[in-house]
Amino acid sequence: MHQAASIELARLRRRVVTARFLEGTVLANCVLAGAAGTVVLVARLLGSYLPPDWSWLWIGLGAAAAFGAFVAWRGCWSLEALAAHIDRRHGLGGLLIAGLERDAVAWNPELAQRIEQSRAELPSFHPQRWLVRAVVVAGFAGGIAILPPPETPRQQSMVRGELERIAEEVELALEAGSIDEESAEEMRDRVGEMQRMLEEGDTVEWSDADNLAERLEHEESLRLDRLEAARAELGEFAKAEDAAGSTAQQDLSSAMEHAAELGLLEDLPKELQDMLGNMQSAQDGESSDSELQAAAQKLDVAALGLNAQQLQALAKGLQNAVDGELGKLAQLGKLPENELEDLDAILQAAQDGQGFGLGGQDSERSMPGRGGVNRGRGDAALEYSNRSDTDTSKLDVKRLPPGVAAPREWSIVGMRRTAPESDAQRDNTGGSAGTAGTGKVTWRRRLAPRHRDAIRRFFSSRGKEPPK
Amino acid sequence: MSSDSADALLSPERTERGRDLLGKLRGGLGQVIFGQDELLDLTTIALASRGHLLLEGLPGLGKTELVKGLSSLLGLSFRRVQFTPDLLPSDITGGPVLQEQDGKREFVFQQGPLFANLVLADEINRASPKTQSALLEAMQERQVSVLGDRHVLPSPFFVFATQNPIELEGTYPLPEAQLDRFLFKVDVPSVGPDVLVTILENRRRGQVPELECVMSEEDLQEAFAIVDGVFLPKPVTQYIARLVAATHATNDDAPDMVRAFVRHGASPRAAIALGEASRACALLAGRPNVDFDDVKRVAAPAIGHRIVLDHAARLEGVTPAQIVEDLCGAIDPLQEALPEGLR
Repeated sequence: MHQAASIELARLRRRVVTARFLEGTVLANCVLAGAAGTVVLVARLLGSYLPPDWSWLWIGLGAAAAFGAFVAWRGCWSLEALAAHIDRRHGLGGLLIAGLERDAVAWNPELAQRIEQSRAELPSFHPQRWLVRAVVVAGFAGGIAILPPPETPRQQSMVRGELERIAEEVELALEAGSIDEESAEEMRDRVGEMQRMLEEGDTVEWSDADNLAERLEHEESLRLDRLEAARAELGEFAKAEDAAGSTAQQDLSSAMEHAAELGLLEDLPKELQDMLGNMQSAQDGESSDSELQAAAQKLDVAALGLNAQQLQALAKGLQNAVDGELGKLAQLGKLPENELEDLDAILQAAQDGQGFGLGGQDSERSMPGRGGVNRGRGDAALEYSNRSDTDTSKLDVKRLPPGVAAPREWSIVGMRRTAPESDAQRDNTGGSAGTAGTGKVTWRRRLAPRHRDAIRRFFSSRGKEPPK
Repeated sequence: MSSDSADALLSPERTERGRDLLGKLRGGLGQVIFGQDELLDLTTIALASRGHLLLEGLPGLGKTELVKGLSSLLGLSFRRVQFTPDLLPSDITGGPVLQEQDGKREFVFQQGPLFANLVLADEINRASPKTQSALLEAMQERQVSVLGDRHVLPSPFFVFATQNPIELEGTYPLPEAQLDRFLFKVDVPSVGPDVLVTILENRRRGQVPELECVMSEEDLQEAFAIVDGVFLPKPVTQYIARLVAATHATNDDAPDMVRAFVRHGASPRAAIALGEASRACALLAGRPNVDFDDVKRVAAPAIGHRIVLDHAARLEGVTPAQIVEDLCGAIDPLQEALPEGLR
């Protein structure tokens, strides 16, 4: 065969193979994308959800390319077919196809001349139709892929929100030192597990989220109770006339135990730490600094033989450490309201040089940020202690007795009929909290006013002022 | 005369020789008939293919003159038979005649007008079917059988028949089997004024000029040999096969027109005829091989009379030529279509 004809044949073969490959690839892509899009769409219509993934794209492209290669291999033209096309295109009068089967050497000059004179070009690529198909199907699949995921049922979305809140709380608690790293890690794992269940469409029970929240609160409450206990014992120590007395030393020992449990001894001044360390080693024959906390938990201050000044210094150091810790909790919003007020009063008193004392308390309901329709006026500025100078009492909810019309001076914003709201609260004391806590957890429970009064009366009747 | 090896295309010289031979014949016919180039080409092709030709046209268009001119150009024996309803088979084949020789009486076969190289069966559709069918054996097997005796016809043997598409009263349309024996059925069209002017200028009293023999019998045999040497490539063979197969309404590739109007498609003899005629067509064009265009050119006269249309076609006025034209447009010579993105 003449060289010019061979070159033309080879060029056409390449183009046909390439076109077949592209044709197969585009076709397979269209089919796969269409099928995937349809499956996702049908799944959504049937109430299920298949979240699209980028891996689908790569798998689809790979499969389409493989199919394209198969089509190119299977659709590869025979030499006769190629020759027939070139013959027709160049108007060679069948000389090329005849030359494949018969010896046509004598006609080679004629063949070369005709190819040379022919102005016909080999078929060129016109991928517009492929592109249109690909764009249409890609648009279909892409449109389905970018559809927002279906909304989870309301309850599950609330659970999801609660889990996110718990996760945030865990991080805050860890940052505040309210919980240890091990507990935080466990709770993180548990939150992550439940979030994964939600992602996979499984149902997460409220009770599981509540248990987790309870555990977090329990951990925080324990720490807070210990802080409170330590502060109360230090207060008792401060009130004692004789700092070296046995009662005062007992109070100081208890405060030290709580401080040791909270890991606050490391916050003591260096000289106090050295003093405690030296005395402990002298007492027990041990000198390891790493075991200072453990040693302090069974420390008997009376056995240390400290004088009054040393005891006062130790109490002050502990007081500073406890107050510092309370301050940190307050900054992170982990301190209950009444504690915040106490702390505010303490700080105020300290600034005024009046020593420690408790400030007055406003009605809880009138404070902004309490939630509900009586949350307070919108322009009420929140302060550090969540109190506001703005009078918010006018926004209290008044429940009218049945059949009683609203007073004339009232402006009715709206009327609604609602089901009774249950406001169940978790029992934060839980298990062992009773032994380690001081009972304030009980007072932080949200109770109906009559129940609160009953509890207040019960404790008042024992001659002791209930904690605020 | 150069010889070509069996697995080689005809040499350019031999191809040129074949083209010259056919060209001379074609040129000679041009002196007889004016303005009918397609008719003359097809007549030349039919002759070179050793096929029989059926000419159909109105009276006075030169059908008979064409055949008479052909006989003059070829220098072959020529007989003309005017077919009439009372013509008997023996009138054309010949028959035994009782003769007395040397005191003995015996039947001697008297050759009829079929025993000639060129036989003009004028107005063939006016003869009875019985007489028409007498041509079957002669045309297909180039022999006649009379009273059990076979009589071989001279070689070459061509039947050129004419028929008139009007005045159909008292005529006998040729049966399909008879039609199938003709290589081509060519419609002789009317001519335009320009051609008429040429005719008027060159024909006084309708007299055809004296024609010289341009091709001896040896030349004709050589032309036949060269035509036989024209190569039919496989893709073209496949195209012929697909084309003929698609004349059947049940074929998958059959175009809508075939499905709608064709009752019976062409026979394998049509494919053979198409191949042979394409060879001659290619040689007339000076090619050593058949091209797809050669097939397309001879498709209408070779296939048209071999397909049987149904009544719907008659009602719609669809002709076989239209069917074949549609067929050629629908069947792509290239079996493999270009991929979608290549043009």
